[in-house]
Amino acid sequence: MSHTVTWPIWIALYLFFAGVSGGAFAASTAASFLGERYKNVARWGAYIAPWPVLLGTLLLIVDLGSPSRFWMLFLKVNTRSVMSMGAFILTVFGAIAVVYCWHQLYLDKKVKFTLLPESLVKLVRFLGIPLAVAIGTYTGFLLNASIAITLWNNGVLPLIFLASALSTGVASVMVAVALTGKWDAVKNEVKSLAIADAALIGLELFALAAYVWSLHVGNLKQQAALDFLNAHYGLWFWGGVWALGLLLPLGVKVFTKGESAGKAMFNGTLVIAGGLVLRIIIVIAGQAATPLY
Amino acid sequence: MATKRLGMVIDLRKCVGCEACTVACKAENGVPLGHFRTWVQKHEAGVFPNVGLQFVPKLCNHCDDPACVSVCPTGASFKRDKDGIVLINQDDCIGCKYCMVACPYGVRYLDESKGLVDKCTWCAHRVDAGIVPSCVNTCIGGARIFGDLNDPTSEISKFIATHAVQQLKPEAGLGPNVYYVALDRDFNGKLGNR
Repeated sequence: MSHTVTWPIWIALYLFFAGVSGGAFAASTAASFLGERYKNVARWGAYIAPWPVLLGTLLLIVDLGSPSRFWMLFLKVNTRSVMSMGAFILTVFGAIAVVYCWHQLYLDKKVKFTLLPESLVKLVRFLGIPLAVAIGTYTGFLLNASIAITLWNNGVLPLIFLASALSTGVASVMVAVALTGKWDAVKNEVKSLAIADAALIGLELFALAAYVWSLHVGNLKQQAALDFLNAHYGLWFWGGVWALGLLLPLGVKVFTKGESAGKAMFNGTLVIAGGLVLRIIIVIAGQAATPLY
Repeated sequence: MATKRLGMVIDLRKCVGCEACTVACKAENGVPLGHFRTWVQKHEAGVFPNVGLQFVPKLCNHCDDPACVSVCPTGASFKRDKDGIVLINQDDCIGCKYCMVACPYGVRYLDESKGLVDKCTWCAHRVDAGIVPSCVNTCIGGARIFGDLNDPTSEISKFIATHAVQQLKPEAGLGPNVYYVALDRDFNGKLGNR
């Protein structure tokens, strides 16, 4: 009857926060294999990882019609429901991220004990990237499963969300490392993060191009959905996500020489903001483009 | 005993858009203010000068493979084995609204007072008592036919066997069980995502 937005902006924020956490955790665990040279990446990734996803989960629960009964998700299982599977992925990931963050505090001698036995530390580090991939793609599959919404029911969406998750997570670690360390001590780490982020931006650009192209060459519904996206969210999508969130930081990385804390913060902030705008546009425009009468 | 597969035919040639079904449904089921389980959608049809207003009653299609049931994380949305009615177990629903974004027919709503999602039940309480849903009962033109699609001798099966019928969004592949007669050929296109 009306163009109802059933899943409000909180859901978009959750998808974004979960991605940042996954990406930061992946960066931290990957860096931990590279030894002392990347100790700041390992440290800040571990510090950052739990908080966005915990905040996002809180938003998810508050958005429920019956928030006090969220625990039903763990009593009943539906293997055909991405949300049901996601609840378990999210719980495992959140718990591991918290324990790993605490372990980092222990390594940094900020707390006196650890919750993570030494024998399990390596296992958690090996799980870092698979968990991040699971979190990043699941947020895409969550929307992808809705056959009613053309902008969601697109096979490339999980790849877009994965690339954005890793890229925003790495960017958040990059900003944190650049902000908190003496430049000479952290510049090599920031440089490596900037290269990793540029590669992830490249992957995201490819995925987004495939997404737009698939709508452009698709059936009438898909063409109409792309027209709607361009007409109502074009400035945010092309200007915000593509230009400011991806092409500008990639251009700054590729076409300017040298690294500086300012450049890292500039690029990192743009990437993070672009990832946020991307989630909001996909969530809101997808529903707005679907008349629910 | 063979299981039933309940279905509905809405003969649009007999619908005058009086909304008696809308009102009867609200009264029968105590549907909250601002929400509907069935309603009549108005749609301009034809090309000038041969134009008209088409009335298309909408309700849950009680699909063969409902998207709402697939996505429901707690299994609260389910398809009843004995006759295929799609229902919501209110003890298990958490109000996540995943079903609402997954349903291509937009027939579900969040009952804010209960914090649960709700929709047309095909008046399961009446069906269990052996009588037809309230919308069928009240329709002034007798436009709605309700019955067992698995029974070749039922009124609805005989009607479908002898009339051209259409479904809404058959391309969604969910197997909707509400059939229409004389649906404007442009209607499904206008239902599509914009």
